Amino acid sequence: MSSERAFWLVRGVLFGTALFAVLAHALLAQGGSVPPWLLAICVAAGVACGRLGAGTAAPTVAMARPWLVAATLVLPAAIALLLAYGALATPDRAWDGVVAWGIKAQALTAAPTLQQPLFADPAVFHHSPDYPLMQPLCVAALGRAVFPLQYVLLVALVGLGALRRTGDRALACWAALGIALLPELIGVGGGGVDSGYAETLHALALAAAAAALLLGDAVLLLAAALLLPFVKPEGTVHALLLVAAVSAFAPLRMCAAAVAGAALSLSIWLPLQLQLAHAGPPGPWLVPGVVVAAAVVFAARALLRGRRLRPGALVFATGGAVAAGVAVLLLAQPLFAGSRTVLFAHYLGDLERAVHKLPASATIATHLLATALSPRRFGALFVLLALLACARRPRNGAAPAPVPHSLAAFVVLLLLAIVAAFYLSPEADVVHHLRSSADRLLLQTAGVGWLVVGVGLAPRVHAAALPRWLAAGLGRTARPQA
Amino acid sequence: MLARAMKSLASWLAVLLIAHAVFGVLRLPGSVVARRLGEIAACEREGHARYTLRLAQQSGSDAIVQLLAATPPDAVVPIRGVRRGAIEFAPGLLWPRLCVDAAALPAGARTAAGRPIAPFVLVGDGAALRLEPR
Repeated sequence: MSSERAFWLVRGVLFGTALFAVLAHALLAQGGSVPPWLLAICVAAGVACGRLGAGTAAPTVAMARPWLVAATLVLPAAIALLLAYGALATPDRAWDGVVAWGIKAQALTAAPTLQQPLFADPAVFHHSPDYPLMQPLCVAALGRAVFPLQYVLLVALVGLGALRRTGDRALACWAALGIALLPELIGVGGGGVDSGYAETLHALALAAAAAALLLGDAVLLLAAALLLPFVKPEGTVHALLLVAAVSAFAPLRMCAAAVAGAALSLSIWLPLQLQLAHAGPPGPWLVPGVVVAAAVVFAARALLRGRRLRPGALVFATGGAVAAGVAVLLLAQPLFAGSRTVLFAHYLGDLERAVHKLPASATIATHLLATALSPRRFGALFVLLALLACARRPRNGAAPAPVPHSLAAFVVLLLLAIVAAFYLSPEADVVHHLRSSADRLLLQTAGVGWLVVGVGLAPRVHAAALPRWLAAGLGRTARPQA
Repeated sequence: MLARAMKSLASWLAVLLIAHAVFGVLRLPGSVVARRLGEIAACEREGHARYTLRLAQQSGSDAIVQLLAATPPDAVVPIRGVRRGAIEFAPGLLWPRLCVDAAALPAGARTAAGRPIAPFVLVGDGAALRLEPR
C-alpha cells in the first residue's frame, strides 16, 4: 500500500470514529441503544470518504534506507501484538482502568444503553459516572482489541502526517518510531496502551488535530474537534483550546471546521454529561448558548479575515479575549458548582483553590519538568521539543515555518492546561496528584509532540551537513533523480 | 559561527532522535515484554480482585472474593463509608453485581428491583474494605 493510500485509510478511520462518537452519544442521550454494527458502518463510511479533501502530499525530498523502513514496520507491529496480548489476556489491571473505564465498558457490552441501573439510578455507585463514553462504547463494539488498534492508528498517523508535511521519508520513519517506542505509552503503568485508560485514544484525537493543522486538512480537524469532548473530561477544554488556537492563527475554513466540530459535539455532550452526573435536566439555554458562542467566534474570525491588525490592536484583542474568558468562568461559578461533574464542579467550580495552591508552584513546575524530561517515561521527546523551541529557525529562503503558528499556539495552550490542572484540582495533596497524574497528562500530548519533532527536524537536517556516521545512522538518502 | 552552531545543533538533535529509539528498543525485552508477561501471570495466579487491589496498594480483597462467592451475579451489594480508595474498585470487581448505597435500600428487604440483596454491607474505609452483616 502506498503512503498516500495508507494516509487516506487512517484519515477515514478517524473520521468514521468521530462520526460514531457523535451518533452513539446522540442515541444514548435520546434514551436509545447503540446498535452493535454502528461502529463498523461509521468506520466503513469514513474509509470510503477518506480521500475527500485530503489535499496533496509534499513532494518527496529524501528517502529512507531499507533497514529503517523495515524497522518502522516490524517494531510497531511486534509491539502491537504484545499490547494485544496484554489487553486480551486479563481484564483491566490498573486503577482507572478498573474503576472508571472498565465498568462502563462492561455495562455497555451487556446492554448498550443508559436505560440500566448503573447509569440511571443515582443510588448505584461507580466512580466518575459523568466520564465520556467513547472508549467504553468502542470496547463494547469491538472488545479489548481496540487498545492495540488505537496504538497502531497513533503510530501510523504520526508517521504519515510527518511524511505528508515534509516529504522526508526517513524523518517520518523516525517520528513513527519515536511514538511507537515511547516508554510511557508501551509500558505497563496506568496510561499505557493496554492499561484500560483512555490516554491513548485521547493522544490519538489530539494528534489528529495536530496533523490537521500541519496539513491544512479541514476534514481531519473537524473529526478531531468532534472526537475530543467524547473521549475524556479534559477533551472539552482541549476542544475549546483548539478553537482558540485555530481562530487566532489558521485560515477561515480551518476555523469553520474546528468551531463546527466543537459546537456539534458539545451540544450533544454537555447535556448528556449532566444526565450522567444526575445533576438534573440542563437549562434551556445550554445548547443554544453553545451554538451562539460558536456563531460569535466564527463571525468575529470572518470579520477579521484578510485584515492586518496593528501590534497594539492585537495585544488589546488578546487581552480582551482572555478577560472575557475569565469573566465567563467567574460568572458561571454557581452553575459549575451545581453541575456535579468532574470537569465543571470539581475542577472549574472553585477557582479560589488555585490561589491557595500558588505556594506550591515550584513543586508543580519541578515535578512536571522532571516527569517530562525523565528518559524512563518520555525518552528524548520533551528534550527534543525544548531544543526545537529554543533553536533559531534555519534560513531557508521564503519557506514557511515548519510548524504553523496555529499548531505552536495549540501546543502551548495544551501545556498550560496541564499546569492549570494541578492548581484547579480538588486534590489537596499536590504531590500525590502530581505523582498520579503528571505522566498521564503529558502522555496525551505525545502524538502531537512527535509530529512537531518530525516536521521541526526536517529543515534542520536538510540545512545541516551532518557528520557522515550520523547521516548513515539516520538512514536518510537523497531522493532518486527521475 | 552561527552556521557551526546550527550544524552542531542539528547533530545533537539527530543524536537525540537515534538515542530515543535505541533506548526504546533496549527497554523492550525487560521493561515492556517481561514485566507485562509477569503482571499477566501474577493476575492469573492471584485472581483479578486480589491482584488489582494489591497493585493499587489497597486491601480488602478477601471481602470482594467472599462477595463474589456468596452472591449471585444479579445481586445488589449494599455499600457504606468513604467513597474513596479501595471502595472505588468494588463496582468493577463485583460487576455484574451492583453496588448500591445501603441507605437507599429498604430496611429488611431481601430484594431490590427484582435483584437479591447481599446479606452483607461492604464498608469502605480508605485503603481497606470490610464486610459487616446487614
